[in-house]
Amino acid sequence: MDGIGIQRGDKKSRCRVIPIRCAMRLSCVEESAWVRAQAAGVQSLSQRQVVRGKVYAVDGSGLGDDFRVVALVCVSAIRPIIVAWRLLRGPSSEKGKEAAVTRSLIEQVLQVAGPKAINLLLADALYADGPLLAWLKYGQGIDALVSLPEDRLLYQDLKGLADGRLLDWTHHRYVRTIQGHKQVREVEVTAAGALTSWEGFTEAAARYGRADASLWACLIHDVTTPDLAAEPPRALVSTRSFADGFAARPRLSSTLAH
Amino acid sequence: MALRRGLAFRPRWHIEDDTYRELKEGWGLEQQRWGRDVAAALGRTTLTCLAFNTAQVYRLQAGERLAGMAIRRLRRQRQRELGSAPAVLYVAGGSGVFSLEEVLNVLGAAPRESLLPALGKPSSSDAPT
Repeated sequence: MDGIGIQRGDKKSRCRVIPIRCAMRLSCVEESAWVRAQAAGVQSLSQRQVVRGKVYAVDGSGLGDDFRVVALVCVSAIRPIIVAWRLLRGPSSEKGKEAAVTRSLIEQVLQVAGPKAINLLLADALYADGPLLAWLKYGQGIDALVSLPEDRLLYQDLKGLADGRLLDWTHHRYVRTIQGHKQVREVEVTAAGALTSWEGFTEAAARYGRADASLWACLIHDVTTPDLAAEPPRALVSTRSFADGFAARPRLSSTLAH
Repeated sequence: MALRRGLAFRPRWHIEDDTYRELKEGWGLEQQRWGRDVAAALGRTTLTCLAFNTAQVYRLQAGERLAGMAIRRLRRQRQRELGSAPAVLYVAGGSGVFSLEEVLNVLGAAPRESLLPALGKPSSSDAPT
């Protein structure tokens, strides 16, 4: 929309005329119509088998102080495709609300793409919600792999097991490439399964008739430099068991790396 | 072996780096708001996400092949049954795309000759337009 404006003499005003007119007309369209447009657009992609793979990620992002977008994205292929989204009012959303939105996004995609369209959902710590994980696993047959905040009992349990040398750490060295630059990274990882110290999850799972529900979790400690090694390890939790923590490890973000 | 086995959490990065960053910095979703009205923001978000997906699809291998076609050739290939000059009819809030022959038939003036390509015999889709 750059360069659109009112002609005043020889100069072109930077006033964005067309976007304002568009906005006035957009205001006349009902919210339900936009939801239908969203579903129709994604269904078209799904029917043409453009949305490939069964690994999805959910996350939210603020749009200024007024709105927040929460999107479910198919991240299996090189090119991510946004398969469902919601616009929430307000600068940030509380955890419970975002979990409710996540459910509606998942249901929307399963309705369009079939009940087995998703087999793994990736999410950050905001989505570390026990009832949500239980609903995904036992209600929809979808595994989740989620960042686990340090303040959770499960994190403390896992850290305690590792600190008490009841779990073995393994050392891994690998090369990552960021914008063409190769970096050697070193991480130590440890993992444990059959964890039951997350009541929110186990109680919700019990409501699905799964009294034996448990979780898998791992700690990932970046030891590339002494500074990084001094930081607490990052944790992931999943309803699926992975071979080891290294197999589940995230791309270490800049916040973790610096 | 461990590298090949999983790296399960790594694709999550796509949603931050290749999706939200692209939507905000590339498509201007945050900066160019089209107003503070909720309905306008909803429309802007929906249109942008759909456009983002369309661009993503065109960046796929199949999409690149499609993008390489001229529009008339594309129309001939994709909508052979409509002919080269289809008619769009709007009635009672609905719309449809029809071949001119079909419209004439419905109006009771059947065409003596049809310019529609012989369906089922693809032959000239690669001819210059």
